[in-house]
Amino acid sequence: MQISDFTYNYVGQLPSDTTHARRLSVVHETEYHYDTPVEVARHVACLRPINDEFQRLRLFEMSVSPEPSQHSVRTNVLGNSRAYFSLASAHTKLLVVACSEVDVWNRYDGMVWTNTLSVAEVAERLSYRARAPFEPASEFVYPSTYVPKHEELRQFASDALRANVPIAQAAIDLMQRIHQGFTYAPCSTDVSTSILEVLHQRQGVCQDFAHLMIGCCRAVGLAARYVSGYLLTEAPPGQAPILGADASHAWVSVWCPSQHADQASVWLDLDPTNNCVVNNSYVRVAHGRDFGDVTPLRGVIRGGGEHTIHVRVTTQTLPIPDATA
Amino acid sequence: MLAYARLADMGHFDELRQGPGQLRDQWQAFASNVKVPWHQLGQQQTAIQRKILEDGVTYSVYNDPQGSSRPWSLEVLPMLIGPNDWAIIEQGVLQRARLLNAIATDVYSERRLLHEAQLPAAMVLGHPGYLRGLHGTTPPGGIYLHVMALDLVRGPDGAWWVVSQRTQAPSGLGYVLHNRLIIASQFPQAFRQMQVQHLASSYRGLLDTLQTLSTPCAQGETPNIAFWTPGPYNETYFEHAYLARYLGLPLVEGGDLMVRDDRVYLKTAQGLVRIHGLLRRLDDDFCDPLELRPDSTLGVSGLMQAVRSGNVVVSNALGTSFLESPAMHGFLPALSTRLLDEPLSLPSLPTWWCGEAAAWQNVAGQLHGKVIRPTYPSVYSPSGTVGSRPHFEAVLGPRLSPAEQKAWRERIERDPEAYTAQHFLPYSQTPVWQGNQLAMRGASLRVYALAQADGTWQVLPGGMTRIATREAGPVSMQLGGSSMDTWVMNGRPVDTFTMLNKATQVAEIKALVDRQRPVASRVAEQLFWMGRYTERAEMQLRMLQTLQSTFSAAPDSDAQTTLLPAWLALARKQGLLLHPPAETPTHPSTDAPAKAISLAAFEAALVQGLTLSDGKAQVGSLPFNLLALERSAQLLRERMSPEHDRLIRSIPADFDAQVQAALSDQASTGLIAMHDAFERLAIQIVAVTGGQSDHMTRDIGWRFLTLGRWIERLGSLTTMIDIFIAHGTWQHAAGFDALLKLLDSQITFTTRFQRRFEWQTLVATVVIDDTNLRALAGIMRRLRSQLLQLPDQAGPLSKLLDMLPQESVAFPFEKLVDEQEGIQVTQSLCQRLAQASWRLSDELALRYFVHAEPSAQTISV
Repeated sequence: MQISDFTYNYVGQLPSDTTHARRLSVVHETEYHYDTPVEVARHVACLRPINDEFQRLRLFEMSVSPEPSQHSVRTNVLGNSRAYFSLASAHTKLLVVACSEVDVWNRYDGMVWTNTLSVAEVAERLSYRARAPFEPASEFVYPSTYVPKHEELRQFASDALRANVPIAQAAIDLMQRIHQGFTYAPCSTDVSTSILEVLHQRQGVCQDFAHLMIGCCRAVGLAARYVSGYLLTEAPPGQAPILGADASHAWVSVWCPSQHADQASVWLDLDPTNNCVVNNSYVRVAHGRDFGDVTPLRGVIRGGGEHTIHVRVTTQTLPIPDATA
Repeated sequence: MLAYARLADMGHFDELRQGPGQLRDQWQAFASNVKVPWHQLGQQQTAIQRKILEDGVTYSVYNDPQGSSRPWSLEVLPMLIGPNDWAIIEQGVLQRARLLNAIATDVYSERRLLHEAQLPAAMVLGHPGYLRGLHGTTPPGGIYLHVMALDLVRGPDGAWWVVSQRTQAPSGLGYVLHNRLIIASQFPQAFRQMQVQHLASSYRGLLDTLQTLSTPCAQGETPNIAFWTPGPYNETYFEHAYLARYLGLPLVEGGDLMVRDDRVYLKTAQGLVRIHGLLRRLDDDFCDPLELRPDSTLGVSGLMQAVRSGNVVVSNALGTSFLESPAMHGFLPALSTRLLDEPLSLPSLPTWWCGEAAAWQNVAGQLHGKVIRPTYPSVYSPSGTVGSRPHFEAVLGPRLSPAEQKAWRERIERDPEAYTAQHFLPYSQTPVWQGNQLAMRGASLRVYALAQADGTWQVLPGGMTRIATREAGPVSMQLGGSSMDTWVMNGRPVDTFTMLNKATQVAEIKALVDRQRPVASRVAEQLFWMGRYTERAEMQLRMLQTLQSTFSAAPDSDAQTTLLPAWLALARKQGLLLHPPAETPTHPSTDAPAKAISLAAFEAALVQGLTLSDGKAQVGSLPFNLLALERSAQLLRERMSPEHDRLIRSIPADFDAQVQAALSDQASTGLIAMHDAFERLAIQIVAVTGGQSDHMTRDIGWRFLTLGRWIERLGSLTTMIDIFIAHGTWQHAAGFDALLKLLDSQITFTTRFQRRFEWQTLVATVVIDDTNLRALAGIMRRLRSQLLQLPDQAGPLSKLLDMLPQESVAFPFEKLVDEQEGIQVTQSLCQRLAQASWRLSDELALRYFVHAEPSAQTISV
């Protein structure tokens, strides 16, 4: 079955030109193998990339095999697209393939980090006072399931997130400290590993670093959200291989209001796993408070016994035809 | 009355007296209407406790080393609320229900309250009870709170205050009813004369509301509503079963329900039945493992989708638990003005949410006069270690030393949002009977608002009063408090409606009677096993009694030793010999002393099978089956009459006590010593089977109970006959007699054949006679007729019937009565029927008890 709720061809209507864009195609395959047949299954997939002014979704197709008995798609309050599907007949294998094609622009070109409010000012904006204006970003300031509040996180963050440093600068500093202080160690953790364990072990995977960094930001009252997505596999010649690219990736988005009241606040995306500001090699799929809000594929099954999962992600650059030609 | 009453403690409001030596009006009225002498209250209190034990009213306490449940505790005296107080409470509760519902409505739609900073985002977006998945979904009729409970206390000046609000799945409505049932009958005259308000109409009203709200979901059908319980391990399971029975709703667990095409279904013996309304007692986060807590085994995956699609009314609506936060109280006065344009009429105790800097500054230095509460509930943590928010029991400021206060201040400073301070108030004290006087105890009153279909609420004229065990202690059932019936006098005429005599239209009644109530597959299976355990226990007992009388009859040792191999084989098959006797006679020609020992050893092993080891019954033994019967009855509580329920629950302990008494009696040993225990149990089992055939609704569920009995009987009788034939036991007079006794067929046999112990008379009695309920033909006939009345949605009934041999083929009269051929034919018939009983049992499970699927698991990447 194909769930193809999105095919959008914007050529000709696009306000920004495509000269600085990168066109990326992503194939995200998830395969479950069950020891014994699964009688009934119900899944929710969060696999469709975001479509906004810096990331144009040209195509999205999701196929599920075996054929679901029912499916529906909705956009939730966080703005993410979620596909629900049910399987009512016995199966020992489930294959979900999501294919996307997006154009991505660099979002932070020309941004001056020092023009953002200080850490203390941002925290002040997000704390409650009677009749103070509501900040929608406060959705991402409170502890959540995978990012509990803890004093140790605040202590760890205190060197980077100093009160009078501009927030963007402080957040980049924090990202660097996590990147330098922690070892990327595939399979060293799983979904049940707490961020405190990650902090103590000094190792983890992209998801752990994202949760840790979010926890640090929130510990001092900042708003930070979890971003799930993909990262271009091809490393430029001569450069170090890119980590976390063969699976879906995760990074952090920190809320950075400008010093100038007339300028919009920016969500600054930072990848602590690769120590870089997110650019047009990244495809954003969903925003959430943590992994729990944006889990790519989650399901409840009856039967199945033990299961194995294989995930394959292939991200590639596609040529953009010259529009003027 | 005053002569018996101690004084209230200083600083506490006195519920009993309005001045020295002067009873309050309602207590004056009570005293003048109570005819028993006061000093007899102690006896009444004892009678109440006994009644509670008999009814099995329990309240489970988490982490209690003493066991998982304890008897409910109820005081003999009621809490009395007069008209003036009730007027204040009623108005305040109605307003509070409107207010909280309006807050929920705003939060899940426009969020104006957040945008205007009337409500901190931390109280909504930061509260784990705010369910993002339901943003933009309005519950049917716009009603979130079908049942809202408030805990009220009265301060020293007599003013009422709200301490906490329960909006998710408030408990207590069942206990309220049961308390009333007991206490009103203790003081019938006072209850009548004082015009205490009745409760039944309010419960009916709640049911009507759910019916009306779920009618659109049913698209022209009569809506089906179910009572959703987390199951028997829940602390308040008793009241779930009690309420379900009272309201006439099927009691279902998550495993009984499923979602298909965004609709909720109940898995029943008749197939899938649509459910349009769920009165739930499950907390939000357990309700749907797909979108909420992934580790919940109590929920229904896909429920959130069904809710969003508007296909089911969930009561209370999911997502209201953020209203329960104690921090909410501080914002209610302004919210009341904003949303209702009315001042808050019934105030909450003054509350400071420490997350608001100004509030924390005001209260930081005064923790000694406050109660510190967690702003947020404890929540699910995937790592099982660190919750996202700190959780703790409420801390009483006045009990903190200065050093402890300082430590709390520092703790709060680190995460102020997570803490809320509430004014500490000495609770009013009301009389309870203790020893031989009236002691005064701090009381808190839980009252309920019940939604009406038009979007307004009514207040249940009553409630649950809870009292502290010690004077001036905190009030909590979890901490071992006690409860009181609550009598409301509001000056209005008493509504004498009962759930039993509603003036229903004849057509409506007919429709209700005709409608086959669905029986959940789980319930059908429980009933099936209840039937099997009943039959098994009965059979084991009959065998023990037969053995006992055989052994005690003038010991014809020769006959006994001849019969012994058959007895041993049978006892093993029937679960009576779990530890085989030390010397097992394998050959009839073993020397005589060894045989004698073997007989004694056999008896000793049988007796041992009746005892518990380490308080546990050995699997398959008689005590084990009695316990299994008790457990199945517990799970079927809402279907059993109270007497029947009580009887089954009393049996295991009673039998064990009898066995222990017999064992400690030195006068006699062996099975003979168990004579009285067996007699008593036999009478109890007759009462149980009588209850099953005469005191249970004969719906589909009952068919499964009956089938369980017949199938079990078929299995055990074929085994017996087979063994007795194989060992030639029937050829001895004692063996023949024993077989008749085992098959409960002595009377039938004697009237027909006197004492002609021949093959022909035997086969006629135990095989061919289809009027004998313990002859093979008799069992087959009843089994067939029960099978034919099963629902056929899951497959043609003929297939079930085909599993049994054809009647004409099974009982060839000519062949059976011929001794040579008859023995062979009977043996092969027994074997075929034994197999048929197993296959039939499996097939029934496959067809009707489908919920016995492997349990669900959550997977994610």
